[in-house]
Amino acid sequence: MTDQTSAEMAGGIAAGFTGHIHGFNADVEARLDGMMLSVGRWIEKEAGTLLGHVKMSITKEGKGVTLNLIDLITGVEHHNSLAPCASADFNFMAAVLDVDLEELEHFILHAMEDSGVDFCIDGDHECGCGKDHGHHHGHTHDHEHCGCEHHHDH
Amino acid sequence: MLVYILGGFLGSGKTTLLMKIASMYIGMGKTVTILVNEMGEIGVDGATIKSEGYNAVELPNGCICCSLSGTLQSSVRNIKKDYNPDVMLVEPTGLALPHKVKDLIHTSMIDPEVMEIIGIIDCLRFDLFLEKREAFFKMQIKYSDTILLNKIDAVTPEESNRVMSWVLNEFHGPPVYAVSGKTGEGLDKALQGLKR
Repeated sequence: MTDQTSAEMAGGIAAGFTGHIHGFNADVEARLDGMMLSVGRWIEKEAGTLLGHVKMSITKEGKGVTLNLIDLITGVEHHNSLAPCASADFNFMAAVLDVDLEELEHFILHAMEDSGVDFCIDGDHECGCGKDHGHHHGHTHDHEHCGCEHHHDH
Repeated sequence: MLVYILGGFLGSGKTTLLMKIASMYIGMGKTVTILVNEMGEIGVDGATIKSEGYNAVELPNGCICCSLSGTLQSSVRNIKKDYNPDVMLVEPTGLALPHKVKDLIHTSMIDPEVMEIIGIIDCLRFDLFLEKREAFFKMQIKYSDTILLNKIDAVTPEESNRVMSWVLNEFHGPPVYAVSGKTGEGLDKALQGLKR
């Protein structure tokens, strides 16, 4: 008899964040698509292949778009749609095999920052680089729409 | 109450097929509650299912076949007490063992009229699963009451036939259907087998 969980038996891990996006539109959706592809490529480099999925839902009042990456050749699938809006909530998660959890979280946080999307993540997220990844302004930020409680120094 | 547990590896298309099955039963005038489990602290499938208008209960941050086994049993009891749906659809994580979920629901005293495991196999990445996690993959599908070979739209007929041959040779007994959750191909016939 083993005390291993099924995820441990399979060698799988999951990382995820919730947060808010400021100024959602088609450009932001395309940037998030690119961000998810970069996460998928990193997983492929680390694990040899992407076995699992990288998912993101972006919603406004419970309705919205889901982005799903399970295969780098077919790319990110977009289910449903979300009209441009001043702010939207997001859930991001990756459940994959054969990568280190901390390294995956670190890569995701940097990929989100590199995407140029104006977002904030719920809670504080620090990784090995010593940087607080909770908040990133890729675009002009309208403070009225931000409920993230982070300090704005600009 | 009918209970269906949708088992299958990460990315095999469980959520898409689950919503198709839910739609079918809702179309028949049945009430449906979906219990969706995700391994990570943050779930996406629950948000997707809810945004489609389905009644869903989320169990994130663990696996209902092991670390969240107690939570699963109390959740299914609460679903029966609060909603008493005609159909309960259970989507474990892609790293869960569905037969363990079935055993746990059996002992949760909700007494469903029918409880079946629908095993879902991703034809597109079938070879990768066998190469990387053959033992686990077989264990996930072994106790299925129905097997769906999904994503036939993404492979050639020869490839889907090869997967079908492997499945029929490996798992004796359950009906096996080739389907596409994306295009709907083969789904009517497969879901017909579930209709009660």
